[in-house]
Amino acid sequence: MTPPSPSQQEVTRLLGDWSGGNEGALEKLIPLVQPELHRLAHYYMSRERAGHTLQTTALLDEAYLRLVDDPGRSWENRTHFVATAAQLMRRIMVDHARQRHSLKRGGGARKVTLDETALVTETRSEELLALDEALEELAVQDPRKSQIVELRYFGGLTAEETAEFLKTSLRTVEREWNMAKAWLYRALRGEEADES
Amino acid sequence: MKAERWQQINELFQSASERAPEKRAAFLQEACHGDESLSREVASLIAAYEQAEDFIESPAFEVAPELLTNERAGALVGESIAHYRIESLIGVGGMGEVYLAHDERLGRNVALKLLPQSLVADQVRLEGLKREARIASALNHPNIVTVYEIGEVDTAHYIATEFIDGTTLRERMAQGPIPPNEALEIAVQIASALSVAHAAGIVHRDIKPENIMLRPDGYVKVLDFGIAKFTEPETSLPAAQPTTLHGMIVGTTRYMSPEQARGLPVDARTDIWSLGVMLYEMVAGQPPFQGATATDLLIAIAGREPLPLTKCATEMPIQLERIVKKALAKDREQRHQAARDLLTDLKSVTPQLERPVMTSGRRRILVLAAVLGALILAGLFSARFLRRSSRPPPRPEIKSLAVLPMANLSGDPGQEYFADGMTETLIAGLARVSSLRVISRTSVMSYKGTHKSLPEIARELNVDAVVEGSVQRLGERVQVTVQLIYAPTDRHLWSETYDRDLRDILTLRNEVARAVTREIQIKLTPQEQTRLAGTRVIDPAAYDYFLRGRFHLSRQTKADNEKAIGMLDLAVATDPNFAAAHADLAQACIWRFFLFTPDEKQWEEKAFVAIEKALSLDPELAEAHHARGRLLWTPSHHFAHEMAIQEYRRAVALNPNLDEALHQLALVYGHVGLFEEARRQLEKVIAINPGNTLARYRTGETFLFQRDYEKALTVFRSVPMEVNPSLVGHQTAWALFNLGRKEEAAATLEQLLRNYPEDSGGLFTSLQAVLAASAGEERTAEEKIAAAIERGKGFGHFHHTAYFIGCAYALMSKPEPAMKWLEIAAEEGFPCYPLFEGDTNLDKLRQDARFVAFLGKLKQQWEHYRESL
Repeated sequence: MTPPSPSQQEVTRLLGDWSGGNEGALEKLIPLVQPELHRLAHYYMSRERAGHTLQTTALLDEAYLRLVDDPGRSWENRTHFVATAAQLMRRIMVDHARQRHSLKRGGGARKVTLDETALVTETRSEELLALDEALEELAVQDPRKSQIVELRYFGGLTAEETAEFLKTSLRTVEREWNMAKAWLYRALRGEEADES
Repeated sequence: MKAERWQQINELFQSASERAPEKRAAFLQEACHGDESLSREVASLIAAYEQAEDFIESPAFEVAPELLTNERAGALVGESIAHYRIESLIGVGGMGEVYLAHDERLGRNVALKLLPQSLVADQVRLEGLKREARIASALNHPNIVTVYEIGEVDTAHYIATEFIDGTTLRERMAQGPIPPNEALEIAVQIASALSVAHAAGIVHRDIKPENIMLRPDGYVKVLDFGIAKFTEPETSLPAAQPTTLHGMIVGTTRYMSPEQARGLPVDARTDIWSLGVMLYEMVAGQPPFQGATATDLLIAIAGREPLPLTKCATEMPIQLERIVKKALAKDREQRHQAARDLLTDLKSVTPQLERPVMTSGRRRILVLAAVLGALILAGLFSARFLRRSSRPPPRPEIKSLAVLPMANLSGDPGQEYFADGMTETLIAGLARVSSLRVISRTSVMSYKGTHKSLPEIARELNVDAVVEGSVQRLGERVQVTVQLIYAPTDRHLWSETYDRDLRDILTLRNEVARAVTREIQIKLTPQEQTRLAGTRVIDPAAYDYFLRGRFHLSRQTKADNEKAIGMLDLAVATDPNFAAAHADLAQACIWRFFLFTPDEKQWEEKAFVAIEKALSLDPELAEAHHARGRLLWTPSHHFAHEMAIQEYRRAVALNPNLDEALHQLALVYGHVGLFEEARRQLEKVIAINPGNTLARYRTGETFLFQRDYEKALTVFRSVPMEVNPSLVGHQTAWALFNLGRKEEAAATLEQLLRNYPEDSGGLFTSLQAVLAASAGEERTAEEKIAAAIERGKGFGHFHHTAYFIGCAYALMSKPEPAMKWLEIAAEEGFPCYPLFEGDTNLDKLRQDARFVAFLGKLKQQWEHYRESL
């Protein structure tokens, strides 16, 4: 077995810090994890063209294997990584969406035309920004609901995995998810109306 | 929000969501103990829960992977690639980024396409693309964007092409349908480009509005020959179709040919198909094939015939329909076999339009000549196609119209109810204009999806004009396109597109109604003007529930009735000031106890409250007055004929086209023995709603009460039994019995009891009693009478049962019980003096003093009605 690289050791240490309550660790994790997520995303998208299905779980599992020094492959470490990665995924995707959005809102000197592929991305960007904002509001009211959405929507965790990670019952996760989903859906619908 | 409040909402949401959808509203009402804002909050969350479906169920990365890989677009502005100085970003797409750049060597502007990394990384595809682009660069045609150079610097691969300063056809389409002459001109230029490219062996494979540029001088340029196909995934599996986070499909598949959709090899005829789709969409303002999902769309492309173009667009050269149809033949062998054929075909509609292929040396001069030529020709065109509008004849007189079912443009069959609701809303708006006869909802709905021509439909409905259009709901916005067409000549009189907030739906309705009346130059009374000027904001979620409720209300089964009440409950819970929803809720409750559950008195109370609420919100709401009339004409209100008539009259005054109210008027007139008046009302009903078969039945009923059994039977035979089996069925049997066709009557009743064993109101059984009595079978008659009473108690139309029981006893010469039941019949809603006076079945009572007195009283009452009603 190849010995862990310095960066693997670093990622592992930061993950430990972060799950130990050190919020600052996340900021240091981003530059270490982001390039790998990018690279994997590219790879998975090219595989998608060949007819494979995109799976968040597969992507994050692979990122985990590459980034984290965990010879024992413990379930707990992996879940912690995915929970962290869920936050990172959210952060990265929302940042990108914001860039795309500002691009359409007069990023260039000329009015930029977008073909259908780009329009889809544009719509998704707007929706994602709105969702992020709503999720932020939901967190104020009910942090756990917001976290459940983050884990499942950005981290690709199943309801069962979410329940295990949060040390609660599957039924609770499902109930919280239903209401969070309804709440967010309503919030987003309102958002659209305000914008147009 | 306070934590406790949130907790409360949480708990109520959980409990409500675990209940069956139709029980949720009632549960909330009770559980909130009158806390309106709490119940509203939870109801709106529940509504969102019901609508959210797949929302955020798939992880973000799986829906929008590109947001994880994104490299900031437009980052190259200000930099140089090879000898190109990058000025600005002009587009982003599957092709990568497109920049406006300046060629420093040749001193000209170019469009510089930077190929995406995913493509560059694929050596095989990259080589294929370069090869094709090189072949395409040899194409020299004014309608094809010239490829200047294919190059690479470091890892960047680019294609430099002619820069077109114009708009894409997509942007032009977004402004609405393109006039046929203009669309033809665009199509001719595209076909011309295709014929040259196809001759050089290049198939575009991705002809779509985004790839067509329109220059301000009228030139049309086709982009990306030989290139476009490399930007698409190798296989176009439906599963790979892009969706938004809400799961909405965005149609890159729309221009795909059936063979492309099936993943078969494509040839030049695929481009012909795609041009056909665009031509259709340009003229019709809507794509020929639509589907809620990529799979639906592919199914439509592969198997469905589009709505004829003549149905979507008016003032269109008739040849165009044929050409589009041919280009859109599913079997490519049936299409134009070469772009040149299509071009010839298009030019038969638009002669002399082709721009000839030119050698580059003479280009400039010839272009100028072509532009001049085009200008002159454009002039000819307008004269040719728009002659009618250039010398407008006087406006035809329009006194009646039909609003045809609005097309649902959302591509989502689940939104059908919304389009139907909009149709109904427009009908309701126009129906308020007294000098206009407007065909009612049920009659026009039968034309949904019809291929009949407008003049044909108008003839069938006997109207001067039709209003038709389309609805698209985008979140909280609604876009409605309406046009008014003079039917006999299919002449387009007016059209308008409205884009509104859902909240303003009633304002929109009134706007359309005002615009239509203005166009047909109908004078509005001052009251009508006020009513149509009225604006009120409605909560979109409430409106949605309202439309769903109305949908179920239009079907009179018990299950639909329950759903209607559930939805309308939600509508008024969401927007307690929504008068029309209260009125419909009342209507639904009245039907519940009148038709289905006579013992459940709570529905009557609920109806009463809803009506009063509706009228307190809008005293001029015709539907509420109509509902009040119905509530008054029930057993527990002893069929208050005069008061009910007043309410119906008020309803009709407010909305002269409310055919249900007219029908109810006729119903009451018939029951009190004023047959002429009843038939006058029914004629109006049938003029507004030729499909109102219940009104036809009522006409027969008036003949029956007049004892013209032959005529009544003829009418009944023309009414489908399903309209109301217990009414139509028993009256048919009664007519047969009175015509002496007793065996047929008995057989009819047996058949009815087999098909409808519940025998609502005991009507069938009471008639069997009459048959038994007239045959002298007293015991059977008594048994049947007992059974009929048992079945009919409390039922809305029990007065007929009572009358028949009276007849049975009269036939058995038992004046005591006969009198009792006849009195019940008269008191409980059926004081039909002319019938009592003439019915031979009662002849054995005519010497009885009590009967004589009873008849005298009835006569007096009847005369009073005749004078006062």
